[in-house]
Amino acid sequence: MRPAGRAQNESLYFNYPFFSAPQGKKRDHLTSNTEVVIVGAGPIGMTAALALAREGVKSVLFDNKSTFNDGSRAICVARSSFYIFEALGVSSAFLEKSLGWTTGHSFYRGQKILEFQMPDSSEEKFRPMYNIQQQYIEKFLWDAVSVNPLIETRWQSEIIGIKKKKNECTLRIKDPEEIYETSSNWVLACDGAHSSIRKFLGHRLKGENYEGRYVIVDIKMEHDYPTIRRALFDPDCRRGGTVLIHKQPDDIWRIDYQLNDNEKTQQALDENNVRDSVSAVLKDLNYNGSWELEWWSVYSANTLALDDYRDGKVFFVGDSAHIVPIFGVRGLNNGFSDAANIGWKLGWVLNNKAGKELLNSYSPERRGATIDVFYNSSKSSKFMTPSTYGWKLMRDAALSLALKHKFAGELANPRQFTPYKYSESTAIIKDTNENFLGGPKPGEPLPEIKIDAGYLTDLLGEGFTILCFNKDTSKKLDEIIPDGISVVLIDLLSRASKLLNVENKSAYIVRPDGYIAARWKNITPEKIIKEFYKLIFKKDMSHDRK
Amino acid sequence: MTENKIEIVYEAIADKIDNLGEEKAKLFLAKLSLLLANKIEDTSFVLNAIDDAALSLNQ
Repeated sequence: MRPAGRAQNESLYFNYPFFSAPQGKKRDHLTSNTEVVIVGAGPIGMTAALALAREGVKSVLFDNKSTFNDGSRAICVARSSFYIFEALGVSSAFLEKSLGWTTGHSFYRGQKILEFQMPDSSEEKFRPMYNIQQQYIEKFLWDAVSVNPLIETRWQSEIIGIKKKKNECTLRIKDPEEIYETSSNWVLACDGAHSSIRKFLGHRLKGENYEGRYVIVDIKMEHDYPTIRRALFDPDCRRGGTVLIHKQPDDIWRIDYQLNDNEKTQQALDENNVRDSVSAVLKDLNYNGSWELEWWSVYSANTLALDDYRDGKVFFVGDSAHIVPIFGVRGLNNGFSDAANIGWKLGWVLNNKAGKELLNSYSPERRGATIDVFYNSSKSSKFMTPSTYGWKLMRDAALSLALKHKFAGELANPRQFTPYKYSESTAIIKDTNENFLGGPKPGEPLPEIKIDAGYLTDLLGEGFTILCFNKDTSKKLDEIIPDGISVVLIDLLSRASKLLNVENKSAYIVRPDGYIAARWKNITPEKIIKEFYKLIFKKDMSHDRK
Repeated sequence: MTENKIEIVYEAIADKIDNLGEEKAKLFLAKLSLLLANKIEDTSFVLNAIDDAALSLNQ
């Protein structure tokens, strides 16, 4: 919502573009079959389109709006998402605009009870978290989408029906000029929390609603405080409630404040009430300067997900598949990972580089990531917004003790910084009697470390990458590897080799999304290739040779 | 006690209070304090903890 007198897209700092529906010649082929339809040109749909384009796969993006999302909404972009941006070639715009951060401060009744640091070091290429408004996220992705010849975007085009057939889907589309039908072999539903594709296909999100409701407000002010996440527990401005404060670019600040049980949502969203609530928070922050109201909205801390992120040739990606509470900042970030995950897998299958079975790993891997967030954030939610007497009493006890005892303050640490591991996935090969005494396991992301003038992840190719540690293996692999794999030779005496816990004849296979697919302490080049075919569900290796 | 252990205890107590209900919470917590204190040899430590727990409750 915007202040009275300002239109929905009238921002204090961002110029919303206007996108028209397909016009003129662009309407000639509206009804032609497409390989992949992506529903929703938000951050997730655009990421999916770019991920497919990276594999050389064409897609058509549909969106019922004529511009980007109103308001900022998601603002925290995690390190894992920056690796996705980098692979898609868009990271520099994000790095230039966003504000990186590592530190959080928690206060109880005005006194600092916890300072937490997210895992970071000079070995890391990206900071653990960056703040940036969602409009910029969409703009930077759009800058890449709009010039990509493999992606066609149809704005102001709403999907009003979908029918599943044996080998394709028929979609009914309504735009300002007409209603038409088109067919598509694959559909990615990236149409958000209120997904219409999900409704048309009769699927429902399942899970829990937590009691906590928060108003989220963006304001503009020149406030002299570094990019540190502040959490105020039981502050003067909101007795019994919690307030979160984040800095964003352009002097925009995000304030999230919890509503108490007696505050009606509708009333709380009234502009005057929002202004009063913000003034009270600013008073607690000792900020006396002027400020302007930019945008506000409300959310409740839900944990909801589909039982299966796939229905035949339709995949659910991002919020259409899962709603998570914001405390873990995993809503948008998990959506990016969903999009990157289905992007490379569908790309490899459509290019006939991998067997269709690879697609079966999408839902277990990504739904697993959501369930992991639920587990962590239900803990977080129970602390941030305790809904029962016992949990509230214990929370208050912990906060009260935290003024003097560090251990109690640690209970307020959100601690959701480690990416989910695909340890049980069918798209990895688990360690088998390999006697690794350390190093990252299959299903974990390749860890970062400085190597030569750059970082370990800089060495990864566009497809799968085999890391090996002696010249003979590397040479032999180069002779026998199929398309889509890069071979990287790493000095056995390097720090990276130590981190990976390797020996002379060891090898790692890294997936296109940066996750470790398999590793061996001692293996021959021929065996590596044989194992690789298992990973991509291909039996016949003869006609895939270089 | 490590962070994880204290978290397990924290959650177990919270759930137990919810099981017993608000009315019995005080008696339950008093009994729990005595049970735990009985395991600690150092009486001055327990007495200090009693003072610590009362801190900042008079605001």
